[in-house]
Formats: sequence, C-alpha cells, structure tokens
Amino acid sequence: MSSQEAFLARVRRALHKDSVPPAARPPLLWHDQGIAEAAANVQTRLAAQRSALVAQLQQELSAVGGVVAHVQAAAEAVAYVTRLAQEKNATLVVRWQSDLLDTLEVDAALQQRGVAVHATTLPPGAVAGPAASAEAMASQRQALRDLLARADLGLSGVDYVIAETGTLVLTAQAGQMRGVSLLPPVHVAVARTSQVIATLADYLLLVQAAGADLQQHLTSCVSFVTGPSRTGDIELKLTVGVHGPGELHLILVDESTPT
Amino acid sequence: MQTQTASSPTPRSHAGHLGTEGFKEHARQALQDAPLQQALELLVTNFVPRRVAAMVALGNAEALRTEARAIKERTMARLDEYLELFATQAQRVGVHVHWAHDAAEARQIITNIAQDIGAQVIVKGKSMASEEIHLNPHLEQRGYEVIETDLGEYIIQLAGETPSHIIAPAIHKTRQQIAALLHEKLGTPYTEVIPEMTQVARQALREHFLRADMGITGANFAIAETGSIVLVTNEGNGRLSSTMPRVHVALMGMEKVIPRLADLAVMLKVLTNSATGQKISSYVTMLTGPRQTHDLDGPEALHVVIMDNGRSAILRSTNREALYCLRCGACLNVCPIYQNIGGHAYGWVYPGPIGAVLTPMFTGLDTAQHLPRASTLCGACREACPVKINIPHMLLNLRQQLVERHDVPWVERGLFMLWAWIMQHPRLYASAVALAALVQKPFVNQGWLTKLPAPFSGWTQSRDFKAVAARSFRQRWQETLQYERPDAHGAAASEVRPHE
Repeated sequence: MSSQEAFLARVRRALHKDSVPPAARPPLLWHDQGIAEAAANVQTRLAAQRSALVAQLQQELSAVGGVVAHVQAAAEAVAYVTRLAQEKNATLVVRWQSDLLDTLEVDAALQQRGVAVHATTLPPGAVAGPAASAEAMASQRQALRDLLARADLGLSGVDYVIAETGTLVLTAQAGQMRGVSLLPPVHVAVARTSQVIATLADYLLLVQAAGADLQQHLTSCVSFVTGPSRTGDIELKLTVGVHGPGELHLILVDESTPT
Repeated sequence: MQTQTASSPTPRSHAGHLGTEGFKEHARQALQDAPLQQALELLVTNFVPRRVAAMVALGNAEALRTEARAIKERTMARLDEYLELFATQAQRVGVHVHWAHDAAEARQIITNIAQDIGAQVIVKGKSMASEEIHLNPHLEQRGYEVIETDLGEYIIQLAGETPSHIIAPAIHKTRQQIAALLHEKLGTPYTEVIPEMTQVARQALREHFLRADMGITGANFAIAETGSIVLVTNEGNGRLSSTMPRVHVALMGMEKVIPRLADLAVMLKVLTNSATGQKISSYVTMLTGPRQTHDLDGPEALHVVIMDNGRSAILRSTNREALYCLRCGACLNVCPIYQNIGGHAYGWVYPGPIGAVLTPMFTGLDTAQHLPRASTLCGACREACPVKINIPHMLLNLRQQLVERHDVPWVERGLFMLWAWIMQHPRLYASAVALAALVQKPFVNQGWLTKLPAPFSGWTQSRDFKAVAARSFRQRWQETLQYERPDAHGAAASEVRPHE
C-alpha cells in the first residue's frame, strides 16, 4: 500500500517538473466567466427556446426507445400513469416523494384501481432520534429495498431533462431513492416543461451556480438516464431491459398547467 | 486460470490470456476461426458506420476532439496536482482513497476491504482496470464469490474466457455458443432468441445484485474539482453495482482524472459517440461520496483505488499520450489488423492498435515485440481516436526502441546503410535504379515482384512489390522537359529539377 506522498512523488518525477516554481503555474481550476452571470444567461436562453427544446427532447428520447407524453393537465398525467399501470397488470408502484408527484394526487387514483403505492420516504420521526435511529434507518432501508425489488413500476420526478440527448437528470436526496428508476421493469418519470434544459453543459453550469457547496448540490449520486436499459453484447443486436427498466416513459406536464 | 496465476513468477501473468510471444501463431489461428471471422464481420459492419454517422451528426466533431485532447494534455502535464485535488475533494465527502503502486498492491487493497467488511459475494461492473490486475482469480482463490454483471463479461466469465474487445467483450462468440453456455451453466431452457437470453441473464444477475455485499466497478472519469467518479454504461451494471451492495469499490488507472466538472460534458460526448455512436449512453452515473444520512439507498462506504501499475513510466516516456486513451474501442473497430484477427490474438488485456502500444509498455517490450510490428501504420486508428492519439507514431517509437535494443542481422543493416548512401548521391541513385530495372527481369511477373531470392525472400513472402519501371520517373521527367522546352538546360528547368 503506497502512501499518497510516495505515489504522487513518483508521478512528479515522471513529469520532470520539479524545477517549475509553483507560483508560476496557472490555477488548477478556472471558469471562463462568472458562474452566476453565465447561469443567468443560460436561464434566459432556455426560457426563449423552451418549446423548441421540448420538441427536440421528444425526438431524442423517442429515438432511443423512450416514450414521451406531453400533457396539458395534471389529470392527463394521472390518467397516463393509471392506464400504464393497468396495462402492465401492476400491483405495486414505488414512487419518489416529490412536490410534483404529491400535487398530482396519483396515489389515490392508483389505489382506486387496486394498485398499492409506496413512497420512498421514512415515517415521521425515523430520522429524528440519535443512536437508536441508525438501526431504525437500516430496517427502513431494507424494507424499501424489498418493496423496490418486487415493484412493477417505479414513478419518479426529475431534477432536469436534457433536450440534446433526451436525458433525465436524477439526483439522490431524501425521498428520492436511486432504485426507483433502476429496479422495477418500468420507469415513469414526471417533469414540468420548465425543467427542460438544452445540454449536459447547461446542467453542469446550473448545478455549479446553485450554491457555494458544489458537492452538496451534486448529492451522493446523479444518474443521467437516457432511454431504457440496453445491451448489444450478443451479436451486437440491440436488446432492452437487461439490468435496468426495459421501458422508460416521460410525462411532460406543461408548466401553464395549474396545480 | 488459477494454476497459471499461481505458477507464474510475477504479477505480469497472463491469467487466461494467450500471452504475447506467440502472436504470429495466434493470429494465424484466428484467421482460420470461422465463428470469430463471422463476429468480426459484424463488428466492422455495425460499429464503424455508426461511429462515422454519429461524428458527422455532431457537426463539430473535429473541434470537440481537439478540446478533449487539450483537456487530457492539460491534466497529464500536472497529473500529480490533479490527483491530489481529487483525493482531497473525495475525502471531504467521506470517500476512502487508496493508492496502489502496482497490480499486487491494488489486489491487496481490494482484498483487505473485502476481508474487513466480511464480504462473501462480490458483484462487478465492467472494468478493464480490474482485467489488467487479474482481480477475479485473486479474489476467487481467497474464497470470494465474484460475479461479472455486464452481460458480455458475464458470458465470458461463464465460458472461462477473457474479453476480446474493450466494449464488446463477448463479440467473438456467436449466439448459438452463448445459448448453449447459458443452458449448460444456468440450467435454463435452451433458447437462441436474444431478448429471451437477455432475460435469463437479467434474472440470474438480479439475484446476485440483491445478495452481494460488495460492488466493484471501474471509473470512466474522476473529476478533480468535485472528487466525483463517473461510470458510463448501457445496461445498468454500473448503477446496480454501485447502489445495491453495502460497500462500493471503484478501481481506476491514475490517468482517468479530469480537472473540472465542466470538462465532463466534452469528454463524455467524445467517449460515447466514438464507442458506440450514441450521443450519450443509457446510464451515466456521477458518484460524489457514499450515501448521506438522509439517502435511502446507495452504499454505506465508497472506496476509490487509484492505480499506477506502470503508468508513471508511460508518463515519463515519449509515448505519454497513450495515457490519454478513454478505452472507447474505436481504434480496434477501424484497424485492418484487429478486423482480421480479433482481440485474443494480441495476447493480453488491451487489444487492437492502442493495445499494441500499451501492452509492450505494461508487460515489457521484449516479450510483446510482435505487437508494435503488427500494424500497417495506415493511420485509421488516429483518425478514429476521440482524443487524436497518434498511435502510428507511438508504434514507430516502439519499433525504434526494438531496433536500438537488438542486433539487427548484418545483411539488413548493411543493405540499409548502402541504401542510405546511394540515396544521398543522385547520379549513383539513377544508375542503381537503371541497374535494378535490368537485374530484376527474371523475377518480374506481370509488372510485380512476387518472389525474390535470399536475402530478400522474407520481404516477398507476404507482400508483392511493384517492379522497377523500365524508364524511371526521373528519365521521363527529363524527357518531358526536353519536349516542352528545347532549351532544357536553361535556368528555369533546373530549378524544378528534383533532388539536385
């Protein structure tokens, strides 16, 4: 086991740069312009391009086997989810806890049709206690994992959607389990059209502008999801659903929709 | 596989690979392997046009490749500082950072982690770095159950083989071979329907994901600014391996670091477009630390193992740019040699043109001396490379080292000295060419030299030479000048005369 010092000293020797005085070196990290200003410019540009971006997103995600539904009303989004759940003979839906999903009141609609819905959140107080909560958390996590392993459909929100590639951006946060978009055979994501951005570079800039602690804003995991899980490992024939979901649906709720 | 590892004297064992010394024989066998040839045909007809179409669709591919290369150049010039920054940032969010000087240390670090957490079952995402250190046999010998979860890697693990392509590891196997393998090893009903075979693998592997204690992946990128590692997959094996087990270990070569978060947009674009012609892969996972207190899933601990294993020697060498490689596989697909012999013939972990550069530098030039020579130097690899690595130039560097290091036969040396001397004397050269045109006569076959006597016989064994023309270019040039300008001895004519 090398020490960091020994390891890096070897690299430094290989670079023959011991003679370059540290003061003469340019900074390791730099930004072409002020982050805040750049982010504001991006937001202005995005607002102006929104409808074109939505069209591009639909085209790109469809091209990689995703299904995009652009709806005008919350009721349409709910109807889409319930219809899909019935088509798949789903009995268990696991979903993110998110404001958009809460306001859609999709749980009641699914339960009416006999589909159990479970939000990936902890019961109030589970996180509160000091020492005892570690065990409680562990058992809660295990319970949620068991649910996810047998869920027929995972329902999530998104942080952003990238039009250029048809990519969902999903961060890991309280209420936003990674497994919802990963373990069930069908993944349905619900987004507002205002969450559509142009490029990955836009996202990376927006997250950089979100606040001082960049790592905190990145969360422990950002998943960029573009279409269903796919493989070409047998004779290079494209096949979907190898480890992740075999189906990906994106419901875009128009931002003018009252909620 | 195990006995080979145990009996070999150094960590540079073949561990299932053919070894590089028998390259010529392996290549010969590959050329006669009908299923392999069928598979390689598929590769050429699929990957090559897909990448070209994707690059055209990008519109600014050339500018992107230039930018990606600049990012790599900048990183490599101050690699020690970027690695240090990465480690500091990763540790800040609770990542355990380990430093491995060589393969043995990397294996030891990972084994120690497995032991410390009491692991029994280990799932693996696709990782060429772990192939490089022959991690699986090492862990298996110590009693761990290790399961490859990338479908292609899983197939070759079941078959007891090694990958033959960087991103399509089981490309050398036909669907019938894979169908038989799944049926035999998993006891599932025989099917040649690819979606059904995929579902069989999904179910088998899902169970492993749910019971695994430890997940091992590689890392496509490590971002110094944020201490994040980035996994690029299509199936989701990277996501599951880094999410389900309670401990995640990422093994990366030290060249994987990139400076800034913003650099990811460029690097990712050139990687996926070059690898599979995709604008982005199905899944890109950016991990910044293990799960936080409020997270409901994700591993409780994240270890990143940063590996040198010969890379600092490459950094020091004239072939530094070999470290820019993103492992996209594009140079394999376009290489006329790889297209004909596939990956296994190269004898070690990294095949194709980039393998012909990396393998001698990792395993020693003497034993791998055939690899730098197994190239037509056509330059297709350089054209296809997302970071414009000048592979032909590096192959020439290696060939030069071989010549400097070894006694070249006196005949060859003498002939080249003679050739160089003649080339420096134009009149002598003209006479030599005229002489050659006479001497060659008994050997010319319809304008070609197909079989020469010793000491030239080796050259014509596998290639034909155009015969020396009866009238040389220089003669014809002179005649043209005289025809057009009767006063050919004037100043203007001599100015354009070559070589004089």
